[in-house]
Amino acid sequence: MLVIFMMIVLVTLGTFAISSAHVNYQFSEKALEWNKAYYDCDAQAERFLADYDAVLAAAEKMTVDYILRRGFAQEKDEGVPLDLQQRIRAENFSQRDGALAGVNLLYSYYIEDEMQSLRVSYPDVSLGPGSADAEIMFQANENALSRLRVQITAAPLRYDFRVHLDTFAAVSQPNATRYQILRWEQCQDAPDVYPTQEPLWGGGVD
Amino acid sequence: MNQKGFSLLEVIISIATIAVISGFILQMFIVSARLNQRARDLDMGASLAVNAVETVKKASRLQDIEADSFFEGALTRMPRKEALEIVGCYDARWQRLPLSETEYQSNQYPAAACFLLSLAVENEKAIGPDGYYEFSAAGDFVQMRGSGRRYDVRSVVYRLETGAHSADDAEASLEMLEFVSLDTQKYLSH
Repeated sequence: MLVIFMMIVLVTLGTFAISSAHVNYQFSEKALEWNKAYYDCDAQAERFLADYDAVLAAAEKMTVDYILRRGFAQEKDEGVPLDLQQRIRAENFSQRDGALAGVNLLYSYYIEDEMQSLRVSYPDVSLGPGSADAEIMFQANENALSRLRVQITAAPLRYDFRVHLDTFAAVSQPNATRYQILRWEQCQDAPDVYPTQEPLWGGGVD
Repeated sequence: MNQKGFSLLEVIISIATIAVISGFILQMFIVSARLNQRARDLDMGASLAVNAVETVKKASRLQDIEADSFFEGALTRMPRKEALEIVGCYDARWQRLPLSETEYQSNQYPAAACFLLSLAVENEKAIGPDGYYEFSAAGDFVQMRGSGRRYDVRSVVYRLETGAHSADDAEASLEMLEFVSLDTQKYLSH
């Protein structure tokens, strides 16, 4: 009788051991799938970041070019709004704070203009006011539950304008970047496994 | 006094039954141990591959990657210009083993080697200068400083399996089964 009881206990324990080991292995595979999905999305996001940076680089170059060649020489530029041109001409570049306000407005103008090309390549991107902020979600494939949310914003123009080697020049600020990453996170919508069941907890805390 | 006991046949049958059931129970525990071992290897392999990729992600230049302490003791190769490959060899307990270029080229890995981590960072294409440029209104003077390139990053962990080999076969008998593979991209400056 005792031996039979021991056999039953051992079989039960063995079943539990196999069951937990199987679940453990399944969880390891799931974790690996999550990691793969994250880095697939990460690769897409890196390409988007490069394209976004290219837009900022183009706007940056046009801004500096305008300030040095047209703004300083007071030449008219049909592409830039008249009020902005007048504001740039009125700037006193020896006062750094005053100069940056007008210059950054011009930079924002060029960013908004260049962002149209980004919308073509990434139709799902949502742009904030002035098109400097961008938010987009990436998904590894259609069936993937996890997604990567990316939110980036353009930093102020990273050039100072001053007399350099007897000429008026734009000097880059050391260690400054064109953009700032605000959010780069993996997220998942809860799967709708039991659509007819009421949630056990409504989320409220007394 | 009760003289009843068990006959020899009953004892033999009961021992045989216990032996069969015990074999079945033992097999269950062996299978669960193997599954746990595979799960642990999968977790360790994934952790290693993720750490390798994140080391690349935090670097800003190609030289910073091989100098990182995570790859200390690993084999560093440059198969092409602007390409970097780092190979780490591990035993069954995921302890790093030394690996030479000769051993890697000839597939003659150390006897205790069970896993291989391969991190490849390869230039995809030049996407243009980073944009650190200065120019003045005096002329067309443009000074380009710094440039960057986009790199493909591939982090793979292989499980080394022994295979059959003959005396005539000069190459190693190890077969490599890829079980963790992560791909992403990284922009690195020069």
